[in-house]
Amino acid sequence: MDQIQNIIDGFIDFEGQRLAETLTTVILVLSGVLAFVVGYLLSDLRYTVYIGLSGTVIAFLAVVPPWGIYKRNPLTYLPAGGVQVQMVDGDAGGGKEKEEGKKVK
Amino acid sequence: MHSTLVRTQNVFGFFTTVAFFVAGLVALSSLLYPADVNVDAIEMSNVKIAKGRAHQYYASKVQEYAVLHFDLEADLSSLFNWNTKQVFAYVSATYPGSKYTDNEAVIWDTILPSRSASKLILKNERAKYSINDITGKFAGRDNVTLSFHWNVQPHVGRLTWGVVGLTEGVKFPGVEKAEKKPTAE
Repeated sequence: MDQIQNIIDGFIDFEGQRLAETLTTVILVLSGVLAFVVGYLLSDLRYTVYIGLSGTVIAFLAVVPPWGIYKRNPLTYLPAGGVQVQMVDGDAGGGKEKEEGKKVK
Repeated sequence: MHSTLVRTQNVFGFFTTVAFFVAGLVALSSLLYPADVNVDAIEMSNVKIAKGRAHQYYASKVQEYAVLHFDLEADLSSLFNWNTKQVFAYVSATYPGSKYTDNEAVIWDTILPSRSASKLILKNERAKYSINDITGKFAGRDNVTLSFHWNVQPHVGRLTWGVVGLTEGVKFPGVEKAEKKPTAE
């Protein structure tokens, strides 16, 4: 179930998001320019439509699936166990905080 | 761009923007092709006026109908560029009147789907549409002229119209008697 959820979510890391954004812009703008120029030079609007749509399909295929290239800079979180230890420490100092809280009141 | 859904939305959203701008450029590119329509000849070759009823079953009013014949030679190839879907060409007759002074009616039209069909050569072509006057009578009216109109329908962009080739004024003949050969023009 988690695997299916992972495939549907398709999360990528921050550098991957930057790359995906750039690729979207570059692929779509280039295909748009190419579509206009080729259609104009060959005097047929069909080339414009087909090139523009195929560029869009390429953009979808390149950007939407969570390819490995978008996951090369994963964030390293602090280990989960360490946090628990700190919480234990926090509990120990919790009493102090409560006392300070009372003083403020 | 963190999840599949957001990336799909972003790619599609930017696609619509790009498509809009490309379509806008295509529409603007029509300005690079100025219309240069040549009408080599346009002339009314024969006019007949007959009395009759309209072709609706409920029409009882008998009125005059004019069936025109005309010659036309026109070259519309300059209207065809990469953004031309089709060209609609039509011939209209204009005539004066005493109560209704300005009258214009389309007598013939055609759709030109491609550049290869863009040259019109018509000899003594019978009008597709017979015309009748709003008052029901127009026999003997003078100064009837024909004009040739074109209308470019682009794939993307605005429609453009043009008119060329006004003929000399011609006089409508008298009413032709039914089932008789025409004696006068």
